[in-house]
Amino acid sequence: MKNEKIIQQTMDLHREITKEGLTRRDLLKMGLLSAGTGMLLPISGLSLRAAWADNSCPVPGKDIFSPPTRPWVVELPRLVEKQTVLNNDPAVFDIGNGGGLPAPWAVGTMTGGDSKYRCCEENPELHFATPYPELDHQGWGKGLGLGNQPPQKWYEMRAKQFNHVWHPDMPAGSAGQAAWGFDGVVPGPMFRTRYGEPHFTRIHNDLPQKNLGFGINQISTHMHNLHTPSESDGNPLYVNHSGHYWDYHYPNVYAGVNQFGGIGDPNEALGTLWYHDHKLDFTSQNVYAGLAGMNCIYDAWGAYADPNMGDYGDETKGWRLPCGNNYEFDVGLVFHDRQFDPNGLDFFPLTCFDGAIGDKITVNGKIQPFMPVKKRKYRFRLLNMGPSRQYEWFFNNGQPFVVIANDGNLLPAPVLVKSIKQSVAERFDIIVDFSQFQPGTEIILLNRAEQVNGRGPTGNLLSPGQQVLKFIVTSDAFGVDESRIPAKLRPLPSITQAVSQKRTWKFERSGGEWVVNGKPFNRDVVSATIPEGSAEQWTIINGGGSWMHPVHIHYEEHRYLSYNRATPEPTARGRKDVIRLDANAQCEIYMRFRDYKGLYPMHCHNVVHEDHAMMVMFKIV
Amino acid sequence: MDRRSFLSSLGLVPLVTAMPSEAKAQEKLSVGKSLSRAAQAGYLPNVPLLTHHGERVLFYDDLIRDRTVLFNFFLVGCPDGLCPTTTANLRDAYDLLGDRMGRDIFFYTITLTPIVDTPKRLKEYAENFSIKPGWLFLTGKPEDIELLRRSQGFADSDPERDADLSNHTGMARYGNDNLERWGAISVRSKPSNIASTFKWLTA
Repeated sequence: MKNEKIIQQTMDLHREITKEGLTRRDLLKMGLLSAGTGMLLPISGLSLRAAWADNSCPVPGKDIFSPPTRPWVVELPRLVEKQTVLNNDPAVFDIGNGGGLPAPWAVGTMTGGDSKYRCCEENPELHFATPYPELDHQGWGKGLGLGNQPPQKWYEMRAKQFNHVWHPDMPAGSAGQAAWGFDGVVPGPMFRTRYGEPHFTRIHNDLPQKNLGFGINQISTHMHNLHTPSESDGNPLYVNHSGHYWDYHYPNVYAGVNQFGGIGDPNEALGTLWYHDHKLDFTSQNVYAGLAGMNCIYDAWGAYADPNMGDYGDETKGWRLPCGNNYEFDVGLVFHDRQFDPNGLDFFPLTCFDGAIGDKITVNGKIQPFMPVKKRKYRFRLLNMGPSRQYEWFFNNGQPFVVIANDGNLLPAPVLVKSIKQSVAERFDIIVDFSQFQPGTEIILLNRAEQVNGRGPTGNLLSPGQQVLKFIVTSDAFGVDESRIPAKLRPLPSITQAVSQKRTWKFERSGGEWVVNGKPFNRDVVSATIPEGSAEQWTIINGGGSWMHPVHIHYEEHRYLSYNRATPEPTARGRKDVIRLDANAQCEIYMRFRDYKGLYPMHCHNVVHEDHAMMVMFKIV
Repeated sequence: MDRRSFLSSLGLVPLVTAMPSEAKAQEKLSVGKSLSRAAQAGYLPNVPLLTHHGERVLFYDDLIRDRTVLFNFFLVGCPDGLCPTTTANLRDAYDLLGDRMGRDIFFYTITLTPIVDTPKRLKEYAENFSIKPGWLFLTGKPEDIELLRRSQGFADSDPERDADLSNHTGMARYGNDNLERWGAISVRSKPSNIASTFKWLTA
């Protein structure tokens, strides 16, 4: 009997048994239970688990199948644009005297409110994770930390459970099924922020105690990869408990404030960021549940004296990158592969250590959506939300496209390509010009990377590949396309500051766990103590096996000095925060640690590896 | 229990009469109780096991259901010598969890070499570590142990690495089946960290 059928029958059987409340004796009588093992027997004599018991990870398309869904029946949803609180008025927050601290409740009396108090009451060791025991916000003012950048924009966001329709053909239909997400959408809302405009976000945890069969109702929301004080970074050691909130202060300064003064060096600008849950041991489950979203940050007005420079979110200014009114042509695309059981219910391989991959690739929360596009240039911000799949993107007509940013950071010059590889957590900003096409033209975005398990791509190119997103060129009016593809973009900052320390980090599997330098993550160990303002050279090694590790280092980005003893590919010659560490690869990177202090992690962003426990903590002092 | 009766209890040699405890164990799936999704999906196979006290138990019904648990794999004849240190580490975590141990929190340590690690041998091992109630050392039929090991991901997709048993002793699975929360932690973690992990499982 085919695995698909076995699985279907077993799932049906389990549901029937649950519904009928049958006893073990009933089951034995019916011949549905093995007297020896107590295992349920589907008709063929195999349990669901037995279909993939020889390998603890079910292979999508072989061991488990999602229900069929028709392509191109759902229009791609735009990410919801995040709005400030009413009238941008911080009065709603009750944040005391404006110093970033909530009202001074005594530790031990908290029944709600700010999770920071509960976090440190329950786990006193976390009390020392930030440089300031009072857990105040660096960069807010009050003489703590650096600068005085109190918030100007005020946001509030809620993590909660809601029903989501991944595809209307799913058995759940238009009612959808439970998901977790910020503000009740998956992916969460799109923030549009700006350097020089610090912002504050209070994230409420309204998640229920009962989960989706995976996940945990405790979160820590990481802003990947903002130049953020550690207490607002979303460190996995912090816990924002259900029924509580955590206040995040994002000073929105460029790196290099201490060096350059003001709000830092605009050549250090980030651009396409994302936020996601980072709860220790549960990141993969909670992100898979839907707790992730995007954040774009634009240059401070006048960041560059040269009026032809700058990424302002305005296609008539600076580099004039595609944007339009209300960001119509500056579009976030979040890719997230999911697995469903044959009944269309969410499936997460709870005990598979290699990683979790699914046979349905969603874009902005929908399976195989279509997007009507106008005859002009678009800026797409591609995010691989994970949990474990690496993509290799092509257009079905073979047309080239322009990469302008890697990991959200604009490159020194655009790079024309026909394909890009994208590992988990990597971001690519690309410009696609649809002006050359007749209305009605259909162009399909394909993933051609073959990947059968969480280890990483096999290296084979699928032909023709998985169809993920269809663009349909319309004849709709759009005014004038004032955007440009400039010959040059953001200059690279100099990296001539002397290296004060070299370190080596080896990522590998050992003792049934994922380890860095031979050890799984230990909450009490700080693996590197680094003086603020210093530069270091790190060697990152993949310790073997055929596993691929997308390594993410929080805080400042890195620059490749070499990748496998050679110059990295052209799109990777800028600033990056994710290293696509291929099997047996080794690279040397240049790192700086400027401005804020505190604890930050480095970890594998195959989030299943991260949870088990491929992570280290470093501390900037 | 001697070796022969141990093997008998696992069905490896013919028995004259069925063990009375087996019939009892079969009654344990109580009326109206549903399986958690993890159990439905086959992560928590209800295999019969023997405790270091020689009692027969069913993994899901008797050890996991309605409990907050931590379980790991080990072997008495530990090739890399690390198992005793991890047992000692877990015992320190046990002490920190105090009177919750055996009440709502349970530890299970399952042998990877069930043929040689008889209940008697496990009992000696447990006594060496002054193991107290709420913590069971478990053995069973090799194929059941194998199913348990693989379904919990204590396996390596590379057959050579998988054959090295020391690759399966570094980690413990922890969870709360009622709330369907499942995670993993290194058995070498500081005992206070292992203990504080249990706060997450009931909040």
